[in-house]
Amino acid sequence: MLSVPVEQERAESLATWSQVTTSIQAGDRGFAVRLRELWQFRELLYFLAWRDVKVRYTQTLLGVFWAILQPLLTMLLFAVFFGRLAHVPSGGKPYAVFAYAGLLPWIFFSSAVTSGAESLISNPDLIKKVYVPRLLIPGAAVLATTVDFAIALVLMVPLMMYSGIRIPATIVLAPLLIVVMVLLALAVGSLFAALNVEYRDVRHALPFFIQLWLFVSPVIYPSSMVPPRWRPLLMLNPLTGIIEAFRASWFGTPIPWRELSVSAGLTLVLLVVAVASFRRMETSFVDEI
Amino acid sequence: MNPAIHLEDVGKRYRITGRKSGYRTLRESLMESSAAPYRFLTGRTHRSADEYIWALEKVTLDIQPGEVVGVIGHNGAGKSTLLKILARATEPTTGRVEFRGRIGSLLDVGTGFHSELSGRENVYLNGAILGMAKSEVARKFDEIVDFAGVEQFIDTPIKHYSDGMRMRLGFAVAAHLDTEILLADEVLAVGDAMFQEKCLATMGSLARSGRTVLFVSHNLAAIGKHCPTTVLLEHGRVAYFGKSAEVIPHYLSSLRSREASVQLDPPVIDKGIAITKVAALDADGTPAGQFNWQSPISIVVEFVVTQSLPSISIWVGVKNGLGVRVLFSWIVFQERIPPGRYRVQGEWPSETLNPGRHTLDVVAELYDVERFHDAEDALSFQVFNPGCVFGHNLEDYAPVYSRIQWRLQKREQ
Repeated sequence: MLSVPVEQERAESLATWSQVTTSIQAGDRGFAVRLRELWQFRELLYFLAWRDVKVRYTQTLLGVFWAILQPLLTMLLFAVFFGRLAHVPSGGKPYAVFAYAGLLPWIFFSSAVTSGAESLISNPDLIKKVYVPRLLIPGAAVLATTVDFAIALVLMVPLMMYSGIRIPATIVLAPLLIVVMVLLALAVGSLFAALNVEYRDVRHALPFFIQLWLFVSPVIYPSSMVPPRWRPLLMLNPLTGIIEAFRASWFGTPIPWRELSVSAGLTLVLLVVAVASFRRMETSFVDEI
Repeated sequence: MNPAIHLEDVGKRYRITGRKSGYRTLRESLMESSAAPYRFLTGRTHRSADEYIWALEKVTLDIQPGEVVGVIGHNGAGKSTLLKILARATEPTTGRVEFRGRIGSLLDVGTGFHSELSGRENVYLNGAILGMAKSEVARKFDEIVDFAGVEQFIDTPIKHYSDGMRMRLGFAVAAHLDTEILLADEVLAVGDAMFQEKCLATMGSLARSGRTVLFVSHNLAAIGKHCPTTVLLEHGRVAYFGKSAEVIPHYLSSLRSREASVQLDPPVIDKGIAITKVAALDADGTPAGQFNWQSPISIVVEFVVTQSLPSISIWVGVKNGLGVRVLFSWIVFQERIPPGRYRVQGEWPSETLNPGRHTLDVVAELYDVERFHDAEDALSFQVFNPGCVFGHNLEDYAPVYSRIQWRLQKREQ
């Protein structure tokens, strides 16, 4: 008797869905991101991200500890070479904490972009065999990286306490900064993901490109160390404002609003460009991959 | 009533040459664009190496809600391109497509499966990829697992599954899709013969459940059985669209010309006799891959004898789609056969083999003593019953059908 409600439900769903007409027009390069569709597939975004996280952690010996180990070891390395030996200024805070606060967004950004860029070519079946909104694929890769970020973020608290810095009220800004940071990674990641399908050179160029990006971002050094006339150039890097503001929110120093708004503006522009070009390149994915 | 699927002048063009590797490099693109002004001046606006093919051209079709349509055609006729466009995996180059309701595509099984995840996790993941809501998968979960027959291993990572188990699980998820329109590819019938039958039966029952179905297949028996209507694609265009019983014969006549015989490699160890060729011929004596149930089938076996042997026998066995050997026949040569090339031909009368796919095993042996050449699964062909649409399928009753002359008599009390 169980089948009766199921059948009824089916009939109802048939009646509702049959009203929904989808149309595909050749050469439709419009800016139709199909938000409704992305919403329909929101569960898939979660599943794909969860798959990435789960697989990453079950295949490794140290599991989740990698999420902490990577920024922690990098911090130690930086503290020795840039803090102790090179005496890079750190705004009156212990260099180790200063570096860690910069490494958190940086490591998130670089790994999110890297895995986002690889996401399409490592999931050819999701493109060739079924239809899912393709933007979800780099989206899930970026989302999965936020888990690592969240784990590494937790370590920030004991580091602050150890260095004797009280967590300031400005910390409430951090979630907003994280949102901007995730959107930026999504924009850059999906752009590279699409390029990667068409040009496999991206694979080789990307690690080098990211390495360069580290040096033009205020991770190792504060942007105050850069001569004032070069600073506008540094601000062209959308990560600059995010990293500086993220640090400021932890250390209670004045929030660099100007830099931050430039970053947010650039992020928005990049996002629009990325989604538009993704949509344009998307039409040929299945034939290229 | 508005059609469930409406295709209007749909075409898909692919670029087939101009690249050595499968993808472009940035360098290539840069060089192309730098050469563009030159090409513009010389009037050569297209790269000479580029060639395009239209995998699908000017396809206009209306499929009504609830219609179950078979899609047939030779390899490369555009069947999978059509499905891919409807599944939205690729976009058409020309024309427009409209459909009402959700489309579920069964073009692949186990898409997105990850070997590190357990069966349970993969079911949810795959369900989400196919467009099912989590709650929907949860509701059907037991049914899915039951269908796949993997209850005991559902929490084991699927890297420990056999290929068969993996495919069964993948199909089970797909079979529980509940969309208004369903696209299915015959290659989906996976796994061992038993499970394949189950898959085809499931597709059949999905077809009868009131939704609109497009079913691509090479298996004419399956098309005839499940689809009242059929589209025949030829070179990317719709050649025929109508009642299956009328469209299928058009396809068959185009198959006539195709070679349906197999040249065999000689066995590694030369034992004095080797089978060189096996063919199935239709009533006209032409090799064929498809046979009407109502016409006879001739089997030709060619062999070469390199040394004079006593009591050679050639035997032929036929397996049906389930792998069950349903028929067997042989010829024993009583006298010595001198070296040379030989050919034997025998004929099965009409209505001997049931509709469905059949495979031939051919063996050359020393009568009852030693097998000299064992050509298992040497050839396969299809038997179809054009008059049979929904309902009486001989193969469902028994592996072999036999026409008996029945006589009706009135008994005297």
